[in-house]
Amino acid sequence: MLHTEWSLVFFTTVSQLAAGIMIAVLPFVFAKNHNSHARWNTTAFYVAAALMMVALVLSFFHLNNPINAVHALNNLESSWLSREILFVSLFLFCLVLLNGILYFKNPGIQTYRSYILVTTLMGIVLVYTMSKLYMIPTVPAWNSASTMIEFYSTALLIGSAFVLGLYYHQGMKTHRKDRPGKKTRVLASIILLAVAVILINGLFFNQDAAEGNIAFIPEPLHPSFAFIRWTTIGLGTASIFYILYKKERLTNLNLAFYLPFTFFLISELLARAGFYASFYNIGL
Amino acid sequence: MAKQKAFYFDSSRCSGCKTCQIACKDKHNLHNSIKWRRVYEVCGGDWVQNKQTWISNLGAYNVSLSCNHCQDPICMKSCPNNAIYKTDQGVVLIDESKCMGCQYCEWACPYDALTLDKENGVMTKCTLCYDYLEEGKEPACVAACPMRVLEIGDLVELERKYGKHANVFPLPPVHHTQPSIVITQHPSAQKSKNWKIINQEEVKNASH
Repeated sequence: MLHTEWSLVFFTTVSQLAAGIMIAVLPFVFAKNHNSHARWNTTAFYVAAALMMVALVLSFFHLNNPINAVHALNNLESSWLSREILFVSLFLFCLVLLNGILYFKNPGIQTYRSYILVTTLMGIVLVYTMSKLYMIPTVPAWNSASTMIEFYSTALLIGSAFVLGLYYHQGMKTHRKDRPGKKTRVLASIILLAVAVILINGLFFNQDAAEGNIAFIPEPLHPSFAFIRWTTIGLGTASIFYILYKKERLTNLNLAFYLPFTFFLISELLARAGFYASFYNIGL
Repeated sequence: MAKQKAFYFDSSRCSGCKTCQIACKDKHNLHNSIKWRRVYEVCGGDWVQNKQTWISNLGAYNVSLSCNHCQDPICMKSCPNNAIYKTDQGVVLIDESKCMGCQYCEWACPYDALTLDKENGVMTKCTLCYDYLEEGKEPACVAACPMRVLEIGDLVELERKYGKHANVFPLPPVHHTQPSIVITQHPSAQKSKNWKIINQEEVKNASH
């Protein structure tokens, strides 16, 4: 594994979680009977903003000379890292603005939806720039669509799992006794789709297509990483079904609604560690 | 066409003494863990059957490399801070006052030419001894080489004299960065073998 990349493992996963939360909230926000004061989705926006702040702090741990980060937007013309830093800032700015507006003002439903849409768009573009920054032509293990698929599926998986947990946790008795509604089924479908994409991507598309000389082949992570990763994916998927159909049994266990999220988060952190461990260059 | 300074390296005559490496460290007063120039010891081959006998086709050669001051430097394109730039002589340099030590340039460079200076938190690399060049002198590595296998010159001139850059293991395909280096291959290197670098500990972990 690349040295000192633990900060990046957490930075990329946490910021993708924030983007994923914004995406996962959309089906609820754009539902016909949406109540813009629903407590649980305001909490989702707070969490997304807090996560992006944490992500920003984490990103600085990767820098060896953080003072010079003031120059980080100097090369938007050709550096994907510059562009990523720009969208980290824009996404965080939009999240803070959104939370500020919801806290101090009472916007109409259209304005409310517009703010959320713009913020989500920033999150989506952030994940795009983040993927492109790793798709370096001289790094065969990363330079494929697989990287982008992995990053977006991580965002959708952990973001949706968190929002589903939050919906049931904060919805308390009202949602808990309901049968799975259309919106929760949409979220569960996104989660299952993300799991399917992760499985296909991990098993079939994660092949290195190196051209030319390779001097140094990386040492893979211990196989136990992969075992725990795929086990937690399985446990997370199973717990989604349990929550959807047996949730009334969790009457006094509010935090149990976050079980799928916890499993998926562990799985994606391990996957990300494996991603960095797969680094090697063409040539030297 | 703008001038482009380049190194020439004759792998067929290099003894692997590493004087170039030491001269570079000495000239730039580099920390123990930093090597701007590295000599890669390459080995390959196997036992092959020739009718009823087995013969060895082993081969070995050295490759002395530093930054190749590429014509299309991927490090420069990757750097978010615009801290990497090219001079009118084609020398790729780092403005340390702008570098934030993100190491993105190091990830991108297929020649492992950039090294983090942990003490100062900035990336460092071969400067082609541009101060010596301005004084009309050769870079320290070139001047120190006892086998005279290193040369500095204009890329076009060197290519005219020695031919185009050859695909030598462990170098990457040239199209990624257009490196400014001309190499004369060792005769062994012309054959395709299971080449590997045998001094990995020395060259790969130099900066870690």
